[in-house]
Amino acid sequence: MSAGNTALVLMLGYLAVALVVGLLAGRGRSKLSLSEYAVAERGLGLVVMWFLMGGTIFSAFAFLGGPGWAFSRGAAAFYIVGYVALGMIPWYIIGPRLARLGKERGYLTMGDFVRDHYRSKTLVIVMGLVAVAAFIQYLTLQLTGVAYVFNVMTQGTVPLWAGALIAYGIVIVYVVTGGVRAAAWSDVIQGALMLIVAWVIGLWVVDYLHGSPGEMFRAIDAERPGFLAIGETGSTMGAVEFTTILLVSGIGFLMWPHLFTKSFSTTERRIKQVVISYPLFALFLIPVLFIGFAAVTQVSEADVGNPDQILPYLVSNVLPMGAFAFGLIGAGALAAAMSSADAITHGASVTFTRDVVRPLRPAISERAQVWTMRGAVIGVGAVAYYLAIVGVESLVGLLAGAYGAIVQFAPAVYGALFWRRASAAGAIAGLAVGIAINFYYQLWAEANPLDIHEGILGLIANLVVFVVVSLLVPARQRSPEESAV
Amino acid sequence: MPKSSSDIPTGRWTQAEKVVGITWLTLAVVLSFPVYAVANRVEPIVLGLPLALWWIVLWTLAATVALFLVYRREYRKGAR
Repeated sequence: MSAGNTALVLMLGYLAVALVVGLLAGRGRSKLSLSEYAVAERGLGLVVMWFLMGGTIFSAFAFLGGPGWAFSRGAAAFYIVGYVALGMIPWYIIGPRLARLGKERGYLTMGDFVRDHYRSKTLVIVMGLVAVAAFIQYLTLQLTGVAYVFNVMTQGTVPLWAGALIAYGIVIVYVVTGGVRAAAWSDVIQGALMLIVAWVIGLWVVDYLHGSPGEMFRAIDAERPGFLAIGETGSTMGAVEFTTILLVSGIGFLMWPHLFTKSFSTTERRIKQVVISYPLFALFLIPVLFIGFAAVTQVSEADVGNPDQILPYLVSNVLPMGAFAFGLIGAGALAAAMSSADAITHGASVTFTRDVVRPLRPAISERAQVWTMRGAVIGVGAVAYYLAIVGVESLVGLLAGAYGAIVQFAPAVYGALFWRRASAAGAIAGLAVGIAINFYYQLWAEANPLDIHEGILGLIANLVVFVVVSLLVPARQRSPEESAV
Repeated sequence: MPKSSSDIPTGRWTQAEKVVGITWLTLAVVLSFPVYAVANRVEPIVLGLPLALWWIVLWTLAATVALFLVYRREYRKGAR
């Protein structure tokens, strides 16, 4: 059997396991309960939560993009290690507060919480739409990764369209049937698999090409001085850009609705435990970056084409590899992409239903909401699949802009938790200005002022507008009827 | 939904939350320029990692330890 066929068999075997675990996780639970589908009755355990939150970091981005950054941009890739703890620590403060409120008032989503504070349908719908667009972009990236991995690892046997369809079809099946619990449990298996594969391959690549990590870094430094530093001659990133991209990732991390919403899927104490154990993921990422660093002095960028394909390139062209190892890497890469895809698909379906459909049709029953969520899984999945395989130029920019705009939720969300004067008018105005600035600098402007990341530029304007407008247009007093609802 | 629907309580920061907030700020400052410039170089390479990466790893671990201590204080001996 050729390496490609062995890889195919192993990857299909892995997919079968993922499917079975996903289906078993949802077994015996109510298929009609909204709370079960969206937040697993607020009862997920520590290990499951840890992998569920971690699956987001260990996505196709970590497996393909992480090594790609290390390979093409050097020290700039260190920010990926840096933002893990920075992004997660605020959850220790806001998570338990949200969990308490959520349980008391029945929140399932970010929109439920925002709406309860600001009493503004408009704000919730705008945030919901931005989030869904960003989710679709995020999913498209995962699916492109999946399709590529399948294609390369089977040495072309499985075409791009089929690889993405098989792997993502399985994700859709278990998310539709088992909701967040299925996504969570399959993430445990997928997470464990990809961590093992990442470490084995990362350490092995370094050993094979350089002998040791120390020799590898010395060789890179000798050949390309400045590549392993920030803001020097030979560096690929300046000091301001590095700092602001780190901050924007750190602040934006919890604003992703699929992560924010997990505040409602477990207990206060478990949230704190997850935060404490989470920075381990930063350490787990280091060998992943090794994969890209190992290639710097060995492979020319022109040969690879797209730096994100450095891992598949190494595996197929540089490393002598047994068929089994080859297949295992394929399965690990699939697992990484799928463990993000399931949480995002689930998050998008819940956000779309609760934060976009429900405000427009307030009379919708709980049962209808569950079914709308299931429908949305398929709808969102189909759109992302279409974009990943066919690609639609005109939409790509729009979605990328939404992806970058997620961090703009921060003032409204933190305002609702910590600032009594925060008003709906302020939140909407701030969000609009922040998103507009973010879009402008991300998509149209030639260069950013002072090299500051567009997310931070937007955030500063957003915050100023939010505060000023909130002070000028205070929240309206609630009528007695509203308070009685 | 329960009947009370006043503003979301903006509640005071507990001492634990304040310590966590300070931990976050410290981490944000040390990983940002200009402070990060202290570590922005390859040598010394210790245990295979350049200084620039060690700096991030060690501060991340320090923040984790700080959080663990906060947690232990909050939940010591059957509290809650």
